[in-house]
Amino acid sequence: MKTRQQMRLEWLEIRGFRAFGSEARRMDLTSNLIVVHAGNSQGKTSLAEAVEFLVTGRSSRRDLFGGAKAEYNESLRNAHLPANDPVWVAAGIRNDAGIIREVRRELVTDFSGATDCDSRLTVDGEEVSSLSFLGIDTIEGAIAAPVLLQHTLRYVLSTEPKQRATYFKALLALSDLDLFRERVRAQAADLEHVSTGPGLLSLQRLSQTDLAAFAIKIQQLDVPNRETLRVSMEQVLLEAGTDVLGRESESISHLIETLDQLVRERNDLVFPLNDFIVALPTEFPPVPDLSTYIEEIRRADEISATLLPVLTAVLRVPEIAHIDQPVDCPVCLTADGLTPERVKDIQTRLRDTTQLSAASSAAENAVRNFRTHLQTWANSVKNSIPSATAWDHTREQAVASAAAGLSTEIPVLLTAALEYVRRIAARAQEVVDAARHVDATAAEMVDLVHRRVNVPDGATISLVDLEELLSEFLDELSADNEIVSLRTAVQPLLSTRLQSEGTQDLLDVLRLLEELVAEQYSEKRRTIVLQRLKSADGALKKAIGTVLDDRFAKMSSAIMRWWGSIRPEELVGFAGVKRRAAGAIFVNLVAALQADAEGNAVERDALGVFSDSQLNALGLSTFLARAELVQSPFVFLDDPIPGSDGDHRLTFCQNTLAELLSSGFQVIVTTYDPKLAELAQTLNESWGPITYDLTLLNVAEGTEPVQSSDLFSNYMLQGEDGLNAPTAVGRRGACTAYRSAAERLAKQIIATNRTASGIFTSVTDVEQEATMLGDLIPLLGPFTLSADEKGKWQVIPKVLNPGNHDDGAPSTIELKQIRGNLRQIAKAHKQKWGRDLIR
Amino acid sequence: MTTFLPNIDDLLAALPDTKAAVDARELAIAGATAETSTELDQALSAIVQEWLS
Repeated sequence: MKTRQQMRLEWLEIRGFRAFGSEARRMDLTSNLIVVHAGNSQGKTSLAEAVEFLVTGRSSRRDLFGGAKAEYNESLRNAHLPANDPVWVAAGIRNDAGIIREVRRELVTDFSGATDCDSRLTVDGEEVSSLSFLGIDTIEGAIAAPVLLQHTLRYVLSTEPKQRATYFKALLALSDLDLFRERVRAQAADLEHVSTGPGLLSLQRLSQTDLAAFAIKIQQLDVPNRETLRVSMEQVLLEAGTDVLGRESESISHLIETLDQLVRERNDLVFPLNDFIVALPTEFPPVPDLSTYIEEIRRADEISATLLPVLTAVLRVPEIAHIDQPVDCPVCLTADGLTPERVKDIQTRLRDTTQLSAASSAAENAVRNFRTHLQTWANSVKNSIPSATAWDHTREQAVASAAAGLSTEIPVLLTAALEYVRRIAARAQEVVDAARHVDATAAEMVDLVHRRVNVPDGATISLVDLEELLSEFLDELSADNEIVSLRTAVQPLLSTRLQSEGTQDLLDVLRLLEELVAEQYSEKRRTIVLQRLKSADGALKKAIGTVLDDRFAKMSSAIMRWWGSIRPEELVGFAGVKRRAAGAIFVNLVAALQADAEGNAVERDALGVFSDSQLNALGLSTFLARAELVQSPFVFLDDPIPGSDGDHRLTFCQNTLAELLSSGFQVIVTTYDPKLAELAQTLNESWGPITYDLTLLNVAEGTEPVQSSDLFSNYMLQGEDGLNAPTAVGRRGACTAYRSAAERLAKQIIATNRTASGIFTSVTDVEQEATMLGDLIPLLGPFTLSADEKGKWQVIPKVLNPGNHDDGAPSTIELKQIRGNLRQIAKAHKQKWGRDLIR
Repeated sequence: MTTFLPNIDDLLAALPDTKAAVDARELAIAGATAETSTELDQALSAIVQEWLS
């Protein structure tokens, strides 16, 4: 339970909210009891709803009642205000420590269709999200505000028992427990809605085949940990493999390999889709770089270079390398052709061409390697062509026949695919031919390099033609082609044909084994946790019921007490708020009916037997019990006692208000009933009540609260009671009240003006000089604010002082005119003097 | 006790000492310090994840 907050509303300021208009209206609330009187359509309910809006940012009227939300469009902003004019409700709230904090809620956007209103809440200028520091839990929605409105009162009494339960839970501030339970259930729902992974989906498909028994066996595996689950699954899958193959497999990977082969073979029996597999060719080999060789050969003497291998061989013969006299040349056979000088010269030339030798050797090797790789690459181009290209006529006829057996569209797709295959085969041949040409060029290069001959300009390995053909070929291979169309159409048919048998599905499960182990383990854990959450939810439901019963018991007792304060000593009483036996979701309001004060009470449903007046008292009692239960610092009661229930004005003001005040509540009560306003004020005078009249003279400026906590205002209030009386006797009371009000106002004006001129004068001083209105008016002369006012004062006694012979009384129209005149005079002097106007 | 779940202590007091209520109590204790709906979901989710592991 909460601790009663000792917070108080110190002031309230409203602008632009519903009946409140362009003028910001401020009300002094520095009392424990504020009594606000107003006639119909003067802004009472707007005032109450403004406080509700300040606290919750919502509208209980819209929250509680059904119907189209659009009916509440733009309902918070004063209809006569420009669209961008600010709308706010603010209050000074004194906290436990005595510090006054300014709480302000500004309307950002009004209700619009199904869209809620939006507002900005600040405390001392800092934006906040709630008024939790006030002890108000806005989780309960608009009902959280301790504001009793006529529509909330009617709602609880007219709604269905199930909806009433929701309302009472909000009243009892127990909605948080429902929210808690809902979030626990949301956790369970999240677990239930985890999507099935690919592993479990493959297992589901297997369970629809001839191998279903193995799928079920896997599904039923109940093992403590993931690794054990994997071992058990592998065992079952190997058993399934044995069932399909007729022999055992040594491992899962071996089983996958064997089944894959089997599936391919079986598919081929139905339709040779594998003959349409396109393999992309390998990467084209890099072209050898001959630039170093070409540079070296150009530096060397070409003839020397050409002879280089021969001369190298000659000088490797020791007898020639070290001669000291001429010998016959072993190459050209010239007698004495090689002299020591000649050999020395050759050795010098050979030293000069060593780099050429290395470059030519590297170039020759590079070109030879290129040729080898080129050949391999050309083979990969040939192999990229689907094997269907090699079908003979007989094979093609057989496949066409199989295609016709699959579906009517397959033969057409087959013909197109074969044409495509032949087309790319032709393109592949063009590429291979171009590669052959490149190879021929490379072979020439090898020969030139081998012979140490310079490479003529333009005789390099050119790939221009080959690259162009290759590009076209690759484009053709990678495009959406006829093979893709054929495969897309045939594959599902093959799967269907072989589905019931299950080999493909078993293969799928085997390939997804890792995922399956993880998913099935998680699934088992989820099932266990789901059960725990459901059991926990059951326990929570039961415990919330217990808390609810306890609150109901406390609340029933409180309701009965408040009921007794409003309607004491009645034979019809309130017996309690009870849950229906079926559970926590239905709430009954029970009436206790007694035949006499001593008799036993008979219980009935309160809604069935209570009168309107009793139902109103029940709604009020329920609201007060709730305010007490949640320790609201204040209560705002909008028209708590209906006009038809005049009998209970006195009990309400004398008992209920007094008990609320002595319990520590700050009470703001609004009423259109002047008698109730007067009783509320006079019976609780010791609390120093502040009273207000609400008037709506200008719809744009809005409702104006005028403080009436003085004798003048009291007389004016009394005048309301009897103003509309149809008989002269009834109106005479109003006449007397307005005369007293006029006399009081005249004395206040005289005393105030004399004091202001330096002659301290009290109202009592003026009374000693003149008491009757006729005697006071001459004294007022110098202090009237306009000629118009002087005239009004002259008229007042003429209307309100009938001659002694006259048994009649002023008419209602005359009285209203006098009331209006007095209000205008009082307003003008209050505006001039403010707080200096002596009261 | 938080302003978000002001009655959670009463709920804990109303939970019996039965096996079925042990999990409910664990969830309620985890949620007791939540100040917002998001925090409550996170606290409950942490418990559920612990149960799942």
